[in-house]
Amino acid sequence: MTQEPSTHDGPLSETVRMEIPAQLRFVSLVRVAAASLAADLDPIIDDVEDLRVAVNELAGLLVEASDGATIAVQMWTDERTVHVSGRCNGPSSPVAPDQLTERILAATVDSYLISDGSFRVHKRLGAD
Amino acid sequence: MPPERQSADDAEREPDPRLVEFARTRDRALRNELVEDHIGLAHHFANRYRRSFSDDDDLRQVALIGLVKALDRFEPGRGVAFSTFAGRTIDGELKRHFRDQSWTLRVPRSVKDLHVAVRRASEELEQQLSRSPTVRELADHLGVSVDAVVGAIGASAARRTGSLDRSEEDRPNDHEAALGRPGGTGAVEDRDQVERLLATLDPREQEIIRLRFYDQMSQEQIAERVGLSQMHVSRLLRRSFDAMRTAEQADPDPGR
Repeated sequence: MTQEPSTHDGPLSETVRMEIPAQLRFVSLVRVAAASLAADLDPIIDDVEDLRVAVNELAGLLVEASDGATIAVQMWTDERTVHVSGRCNGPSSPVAPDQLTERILAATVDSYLISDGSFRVHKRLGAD
Repeated sequence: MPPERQSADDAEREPDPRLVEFARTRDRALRNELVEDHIGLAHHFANRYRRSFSDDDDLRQVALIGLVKALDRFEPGRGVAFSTFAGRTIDGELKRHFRDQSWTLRVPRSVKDLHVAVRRASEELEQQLSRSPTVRELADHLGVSVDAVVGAIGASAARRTGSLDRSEEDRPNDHEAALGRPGGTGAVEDRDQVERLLATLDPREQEIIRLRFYDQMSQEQIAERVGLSQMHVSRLLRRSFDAMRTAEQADPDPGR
C-alpha cells in the first residue's frame, strides 16, 4: 500500500517533478537536482551538502522499500526553504529508517516525515 | 590478512572489497556496516576537537556525518586509502562545525563563491592536465562534493542569464556596449563623454568604473582590489551605468 504525501503546497508552476527507476544508482539524480535547486537560492555550501545527504538518505530508503516500479519526486522552494517529497509508484514495503538514518536526518534537516511508501523533507537554508 | 587490518599502503593496492561493492551498489545495509566498522575513526577525530565532556555527543554526531559523506564520495581504485580519505572528510566536517568560532577553512562558503572557485580551479587544472578537468577532479581539487560542483555550475548558469556577472566571458552588455569595450580606445569624444558622466558618480563608483574600463579588470579582480564581493561590484557597476545613463539623457551637450 502506498501513501501519497499530503497535499502539495508548493507553487505548482515552479515545482520540479522527476521520476526515477527504483534503483539506488538513480538516487544521485534526485540529490543533484535537489542540490541544484537549493543552489539557485545562493545558500552556503554547508546547507546544500546537508540537503544532499538527507535527500540521498530518504530517496535511498524509498528505493529499498519499493517493490520495483518507479519513484516520483517533487521539489520546490518557498522563500529560503527547500521542500522535497517522494513516493513509490506501485507497491512498497513499509519504510523503516534505521537508527543511523534517523541520526543523519536529525543532523541535516529541519523536519522530515516518513510514511509507508513516501517521504517529505524540509530544509531551511541559512543566509549567505 | 583481512582487509580491515590492512595498513593504508596496503589498502591503496587492495581496497576493502566491501568499499568496492558499496561504490558499485550503494547498498544501504552495506553502508551501515561500513559506518559501524569505521566509527572508531570518526570518534578518534571527534576526540581531537573535544574541549569538554559536554562536547562529546555533538562532536561524534558531526564526525559521523563526515564518515557518511566520506563513504558516499569515496572512489576505490583512485590510489587513496579509505582511512586517509575519510580522515580528511571527517576532519573537514569538524572544522566546519567550529568555523563560526574563528576556524578558517579553504573551502569557500557560499555557492556564489564556489562558482568563482570552480572557474579558477578549472583554469588551473586545465593547465596542469592539458585538457578540461572532470567534475570529479574539480570536486577533489576544491575538497567539496561532486554535487556541490554541479550545483555551483548550475547556479552560475542561472545567474548569468540577463546579469552583468559574466566576467569569464567578458562580453559587453548593453550598458558597456554603449560605453565601449573595457580598455577600448574609442573615439576621443566618447572618452570625454565618459569622463564627464563619471564625474557624476561618487568616488568609489568612479574608481570601479575606471578599473573595469581603463584597467580592463574583471569584476572579480575589482572585488579583490576594493575589498567588496564580486556581486557587490556587479551591483555597483549596474547602478553606476544607470546613473550615467540618466546623466547622459539629461546632458545638454552629449559630445557627439
